[in-house]
Amino acid sequence: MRLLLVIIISGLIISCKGNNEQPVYTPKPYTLNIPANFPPMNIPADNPLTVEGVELGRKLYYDKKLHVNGDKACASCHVQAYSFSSDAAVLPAVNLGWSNKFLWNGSVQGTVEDIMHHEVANFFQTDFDVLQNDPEYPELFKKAFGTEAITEEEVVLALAQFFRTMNSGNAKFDRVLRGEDEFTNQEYLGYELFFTERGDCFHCHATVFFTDNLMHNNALDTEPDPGYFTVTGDSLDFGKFKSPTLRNIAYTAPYMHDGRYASLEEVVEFYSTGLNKSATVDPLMKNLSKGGVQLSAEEKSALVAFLKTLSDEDFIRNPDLANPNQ
Amino acid sequence: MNMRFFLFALTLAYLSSCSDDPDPNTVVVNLQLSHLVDNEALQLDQMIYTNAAGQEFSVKTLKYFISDFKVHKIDGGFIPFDDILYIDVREPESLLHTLSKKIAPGEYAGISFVHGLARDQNITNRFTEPPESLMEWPVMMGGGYHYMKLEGDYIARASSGFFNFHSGSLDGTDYAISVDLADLPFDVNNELNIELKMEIQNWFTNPVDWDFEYFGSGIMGNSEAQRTVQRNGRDVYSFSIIEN
Repeated sequence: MRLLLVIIISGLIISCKGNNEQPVYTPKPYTLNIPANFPPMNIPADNPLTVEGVELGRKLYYDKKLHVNGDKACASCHVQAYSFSSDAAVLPAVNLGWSNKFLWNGSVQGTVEDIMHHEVANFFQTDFDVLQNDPEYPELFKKAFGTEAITEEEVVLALAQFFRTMNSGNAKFDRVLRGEDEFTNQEYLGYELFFTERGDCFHCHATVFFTDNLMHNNALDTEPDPGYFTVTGDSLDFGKFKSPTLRNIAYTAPYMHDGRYASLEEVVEFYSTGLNKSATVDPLMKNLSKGGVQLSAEEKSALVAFLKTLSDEDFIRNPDLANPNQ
Repeated sequence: MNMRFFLFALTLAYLSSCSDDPDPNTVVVNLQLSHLVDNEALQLDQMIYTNAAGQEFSVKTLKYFISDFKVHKIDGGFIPFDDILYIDVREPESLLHTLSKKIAPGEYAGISFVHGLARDQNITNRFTEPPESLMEWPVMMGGGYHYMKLEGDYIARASSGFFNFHSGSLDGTDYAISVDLADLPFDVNNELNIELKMEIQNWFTNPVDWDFEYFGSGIMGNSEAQRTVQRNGRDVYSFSIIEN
């Protein structure tokens, strides 16, 4: 009888203990597909990409609950169809895993986590209680980071993981480099203009990312907006803005930091004939004294045709980057 | 038998005594880069210089590579270094390099190096990280990397504007510059601190007085200009040993 009681009590203890144990989640490593012609991406050791982390970041990216007023998501301004830009002068969120300067005036520098911290804390001013009281998020955070307590840190890490998957490297330009496609004659002329000092686009729109991630005054105005000066306070930085990537540039109109140009044709015309002198214009704008590089009509059309070969349709239609909440 | 054992023991003793020898290469080699105009420290962004052709100029950008560095021995041999040095006059940490190899104390005959990238090192996509990756030289002009970007303003008789004095290998012709300072002996004791000085004014003279109007603002695709940069560049560098 005593033995029976011991067995029953032991059984109860074991079953109670079993009910209280939390399931242990081990996030699965995420395999990041980096285009063959891209260099490796530096991923911080304390935020490795996981399937659960990326998926959580994606859900947060499209969720207006991120904003303190609940009326804006990342995707409100960074729309996939616009290469994660929008119809305003918003820099596209593309290939940011290789970037170290963010925003037009370069006011955030460092890693993707740093820009996510800025967005969550300063732009969204996220109310973490809203996420904490959500019926889904605590479980998703638990799966991704092993904690149900949602703080800024986990939100930033998840968003950074998703942003590192937003990589575009399958434009016609890439396929031509890989020998899978050919430029038309017009596109090839534009390619020549781009990558020689005739058009001289390549010094600032450099490497496979088509940006040097540096700050330049590109001679937009005789009295430029302050730009990078607001960050450094150095008069030599007055009028400087970050070189935007030209990948998917055809999807990201309007152009320049203030969105003054509606089309690529207008942009090319600016660099051809519309340069304006000011104290800090970059010496790379070597044709400033002539007003620009003075392209012919044929050359201007060719340059626009080449810029359109940087469009990556697979990227703007990639279902892995689309809204998971629909 | 005893003799064999004796020889074996002797060999072992010899080998073990060799492996216990201290490494004679104890001297750290530091390279400090200095940039001069008219033998004075470069002042960036100042329109205060005049070249040999009588044209005023300023310097706003100076970025370049040094490779294939060698310390030459008195006996005619040399110690090669694999380091590729990237220098940007606006980045103070790029102006001092500790090389990856130590050398032995003693007397040395001098140094030599390549301004730019030695031909076998000038390979497209070898650099994947900025700032070095941003020195890329377009594939359609031969690929590889800029050897140097020297930029600024100029004022000449009939025109003024920016100059982009960019050099590199153009269409298969290598315009890197072999700098030979191998006949300037020095002694090395505890540490070797070399001050390597670039006289910027010399890019614009000897044997050719550089004319900003003649060569134009951009010279990357101009083989005559690249050849002239290479010829003028041979006496741009000098060095001295900084005594501890």
